[in-house]
Amino acid sequence: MKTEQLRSEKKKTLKLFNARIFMQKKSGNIISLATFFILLIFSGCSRENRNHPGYTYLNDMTPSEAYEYYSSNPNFADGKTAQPPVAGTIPRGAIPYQYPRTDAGQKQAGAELKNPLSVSNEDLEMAKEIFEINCAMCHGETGKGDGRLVTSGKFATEVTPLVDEFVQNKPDGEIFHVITMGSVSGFMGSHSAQIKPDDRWRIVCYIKNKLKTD
Amino acid sequence: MKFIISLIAFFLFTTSYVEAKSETVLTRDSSALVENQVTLDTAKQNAKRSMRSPAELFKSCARCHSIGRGKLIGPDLAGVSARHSGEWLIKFIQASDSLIASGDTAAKRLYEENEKLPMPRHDYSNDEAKSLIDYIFFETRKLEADPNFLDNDFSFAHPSNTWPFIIGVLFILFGIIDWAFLKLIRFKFIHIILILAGLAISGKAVTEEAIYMGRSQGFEPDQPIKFSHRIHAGDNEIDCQYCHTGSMESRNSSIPPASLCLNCHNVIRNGPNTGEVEINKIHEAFESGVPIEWVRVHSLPDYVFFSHAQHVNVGKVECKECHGEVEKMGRIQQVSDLSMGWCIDCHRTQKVQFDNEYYLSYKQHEDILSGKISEVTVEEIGGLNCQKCHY
Repeated sequence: MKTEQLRSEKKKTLKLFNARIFMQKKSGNIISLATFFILLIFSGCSRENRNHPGYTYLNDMTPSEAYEYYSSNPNFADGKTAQPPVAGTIPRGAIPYQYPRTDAGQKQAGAELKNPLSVSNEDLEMAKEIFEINCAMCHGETGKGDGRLVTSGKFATEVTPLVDEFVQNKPDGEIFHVITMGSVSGFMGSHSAQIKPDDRWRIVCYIKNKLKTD
Repeated sequence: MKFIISLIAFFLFTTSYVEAKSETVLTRDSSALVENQVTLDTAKQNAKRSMRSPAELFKSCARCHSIGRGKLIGPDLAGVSARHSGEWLIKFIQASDSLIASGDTAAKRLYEENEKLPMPRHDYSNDEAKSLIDYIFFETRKLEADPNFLDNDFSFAHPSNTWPFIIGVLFILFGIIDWAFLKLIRFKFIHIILILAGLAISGKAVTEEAIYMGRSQGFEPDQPIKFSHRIHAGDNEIDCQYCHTGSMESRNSSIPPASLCLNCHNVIRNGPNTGEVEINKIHEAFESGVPIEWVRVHSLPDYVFFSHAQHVNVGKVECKECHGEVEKMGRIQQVSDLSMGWCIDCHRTQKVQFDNEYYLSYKQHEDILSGKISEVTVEEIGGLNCQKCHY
């Protein structure tokens, strides 16, 4: 409600201001121009405060009238504009993931999920990029579990090496499951919000084909 | 009458002359480096495991040892876990006399160095001893904590023009007053020079201020969490897109949700500069579902369309070309002025990445293939058209 009030107030003052300028004609214009210049100069002071974004010219078109992704929203109870889909609905084209983050769930995913991608060079090049963005900082660019976070000592625990038989012998679905839901131990978190399903399969291809041979 | 009207105009002008983005600016007290909180929280965690808290245990150590305050009866324990292995420390805490008797060289040397006063035995379990060693490690790290770790050593904010403007106006006023009334200076051309110089100085100040207005270059707000890009993107070399996942696909380069932070911070619960205080804020946000209200730094006016996907994914523009050296920033600062001239400058020189299938239908693509031209700038495929960004 507050923002709406503010907006309507801003509009009112603007209308009045325009009317005044029109009435005053020349002399008024010169005086308001002078005050404008003086204000312009003192707006420079705001730059010395790094917390202040500064001033803007008549900003009736600068802030968005519509609510944007990250703006707060008084119309929803939780105050967010970005709302999750209504409970029980499925976004078009999405397939809900139904394997839980348990040992049994992981095994089931390994048995039932099939990699929809056939391994091609193009996929592997793209997969390398995705792997280096999302995996390499812990698992290392070579997949030996020697990523930057491990070698610098920030992670106190060991990270699973992807080139070892422990991972390489797992079916594709299990690796996909770990990326999607996180590891059963809870050490690795879920990456489903960051990496799209197709890209997850690309990473699986990369781990199984490229990392092993290199 | 005119005076009153102009006063009203002045008043109205000031009210319409509103702050740019005050709605989203949230500031918190920056001096909240809470020290006691850290020890309390560690203690709470350990109480869950039905152990005595390390802070409680350390009281008995504190009779002879300090952390970072020099040698008392026993040596200073700051950085002790770097000097000895964890296992050795546990053995020494539990029974130092038997370790010395077993002929361990390090234990013997310590015994000799400290006037042959043996450390008494402690009935701490292995887990308790471990938590105590962790406690000493984090206490040591607190000594090295830098309270100014967020500060940047550069600022892109332009210096204020207030004083040049005032000096210029004073020049003009003095020139006019002296010419008309005071007559201190005999030659009139000096007055003219003074007035012209004053006009030049204040004119430059006004012009520069008019240009900088509404651009927020150098804007560097305090954020609700003391997050340092220098640590995350610089020291840890985490890729920008690990956290800002949307930059390839979306108009917005997405702000990571708290759950994404927890990918690492479910394990890393203690930061080098702020202890557990700042990291606990992420856990609170995740558990309560109340989002963290980050202060937006880069924002374009509503009448400009900008898409990250078009620039990052299609144009292959590096993040730092617009956002600067983020890996060297503690607090995020707006480096570019984000003005239209700045956009246009880049569109004039930036080369189109023709490996995108969409561009196959372009005439220029055939010319490139046939070798007629070697490159095409964004300008040549309509990158300067008004309606590309304003519609």
